[in-house]
Amino acid sequence: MVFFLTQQLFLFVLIKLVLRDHSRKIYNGLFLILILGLSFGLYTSLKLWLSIILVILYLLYVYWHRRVLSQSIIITMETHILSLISAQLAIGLSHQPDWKLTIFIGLQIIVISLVMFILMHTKLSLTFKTYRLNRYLAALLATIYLAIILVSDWQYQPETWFINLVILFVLAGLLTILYMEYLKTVKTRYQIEKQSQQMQADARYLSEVETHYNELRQFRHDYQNMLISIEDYLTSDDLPGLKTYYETNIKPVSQQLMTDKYHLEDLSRVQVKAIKSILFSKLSYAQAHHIETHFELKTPFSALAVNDLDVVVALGIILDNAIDALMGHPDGKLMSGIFVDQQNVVFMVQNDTYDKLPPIWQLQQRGFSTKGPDRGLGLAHLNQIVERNDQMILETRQLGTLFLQQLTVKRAKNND
Amino acid sequence: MINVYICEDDPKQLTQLKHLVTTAIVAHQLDMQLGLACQKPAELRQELQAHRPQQALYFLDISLKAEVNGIELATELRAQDPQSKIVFITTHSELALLVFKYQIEALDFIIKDAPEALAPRIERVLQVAQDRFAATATDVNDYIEIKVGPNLRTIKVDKILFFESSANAHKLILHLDDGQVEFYGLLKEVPALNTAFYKCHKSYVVNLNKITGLNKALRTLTLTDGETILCSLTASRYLVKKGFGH
Repeated sequence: MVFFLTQQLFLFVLIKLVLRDHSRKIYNGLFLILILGLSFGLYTSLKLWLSIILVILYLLYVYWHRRVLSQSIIITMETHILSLISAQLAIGLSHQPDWKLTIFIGLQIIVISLVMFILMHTKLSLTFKTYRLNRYLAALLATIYLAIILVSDWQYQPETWFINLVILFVLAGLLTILYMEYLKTVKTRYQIEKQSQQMQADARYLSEVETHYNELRQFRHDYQNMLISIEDYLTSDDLPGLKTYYETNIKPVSQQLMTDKYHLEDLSRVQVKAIKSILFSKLSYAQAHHIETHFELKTPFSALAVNDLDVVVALGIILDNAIDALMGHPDGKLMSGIFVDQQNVVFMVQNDTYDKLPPIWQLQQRGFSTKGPDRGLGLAHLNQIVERNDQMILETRQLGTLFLQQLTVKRAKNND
Repeated sequence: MINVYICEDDPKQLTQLKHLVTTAIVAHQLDMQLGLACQKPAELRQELQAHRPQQALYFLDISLKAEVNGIELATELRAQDPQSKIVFITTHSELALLVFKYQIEALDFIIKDAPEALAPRIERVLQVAQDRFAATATDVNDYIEIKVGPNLRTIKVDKILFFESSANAHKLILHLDDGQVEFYGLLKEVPALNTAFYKCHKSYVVNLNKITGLNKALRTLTLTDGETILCSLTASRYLVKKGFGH
């Protein structure tokens, strides 16, 4: 009897802890009194049914906090199983009946401090973010709980606690493995998607290079013709003729060579494929939208000390923001470049700004965007990526009407 | 006395620059002298090893036909003497390049395709260099130096709002009036950089001149750009004593 009441008391504390609810409002006390009262009054008459009633009450209490049924079931079941296991362990460990309460209290204190420690020092959540996973877990936990109380047949029998424990561990192990597998498939799917995107960009890059090559061949042909014409004018000493020829035929060509589409030539020096792809796809997209786009890289670099995917996502966000800012402004310029030194690779992206921007700390807030709601995850996500990578440094500046972002990434140590 | 060094691979342009610099020094009676005018970075290095100048101003061609370009040479010079001033001599098309502009904090870029504008531009930049050296001699406190990636940056204390420790143990985020700069460093070493810096929280060092408000109940500080940061109990007491929060 006393044992059962103690169990309920600790259970309540555990639930409060897991809910991360530290309030001491009056209804908490009322709920506890209700639970203890019910336990006290109905313990002998109802037995197994009492447990069920109490579980439902706890469930309502948790639901009142969380407002999501599956999550509430998970939390209720997790705490109940923990409590049950400790109780059975206490009974199993004590040789004499009078010891079991002391051992149980000790065990509960250990469990609660452990849970408290884990919750305070990690961001661990006892439920998943995915709705579907939560439902499965809720059903599974409920089954386990029912199995345990039915098998132990309400009265704790010394021989069942060990079996229960084993079942629980096996199930927990299975669950962990399943979750790991699930994570792995999600990750693979994401990578495959990224790779196919990269392959598309690569193909486009290749066809672009081919076009340029054909233009170059055409140019070589024209160039030879021009030289022959110049020679003609020179042998006949026709300087005025040469002058008009230069004005009409050569000058336009030299101007054409300066046009936009050659501004991305330096991309050929980018040797990291994933980075080349993202740069090409974003920059050519900007060009296609009539934004004057430049890219420079003089020294090729190979490997970076940070995983390529993070660099690619970060660059994508930076370039997207720059392109967004320039859309619809034909005189705007997108300047980008990579500077390489012994230890670092610096990616620079600069764009003209047309609207008065709020201070940068506001831009970085999740959900803040100059373009209205449902956007603005960009800079917040970028910060997250930079934060988790020790080898990445970000600089964001507003210099007059220029917005400049500079991402410094350490180079990988050379093996040769 | 400021030593002026010129490194330019084209002999004709080198003579011209040398001439323009010496005439400007004489004409305006600047406290400067020509240290060396050379074509190769190696010569410049040799000279610097023999006579280490107190204050140096360098005119560097960006595309030197040598084992290093002007930018790399400038990085090298800066590493040896962070206070040195650098002026790049460049062509118009090179100047369009973004990378060159941000790598080194240059005093100026002089375009050599426009010879007629060269003389006044050089006179002005020499004057500016002299003023800057004079200013740094008196107001060392107005600037701090931090290493951002490959570059040593000089940043005006006036522009600094606060330093924040990032979730990552080695990185600090420097919040400026016009942006944010991350760099590797320790927050506990920041207050020693300038008297205006005060550690107001375990993750923040604030520039005292930028505080506009103190909320004692929420324990937050409001800064000139409207951002609020946290402030510890001891710090808020200290700041109230100092006269903030009225």
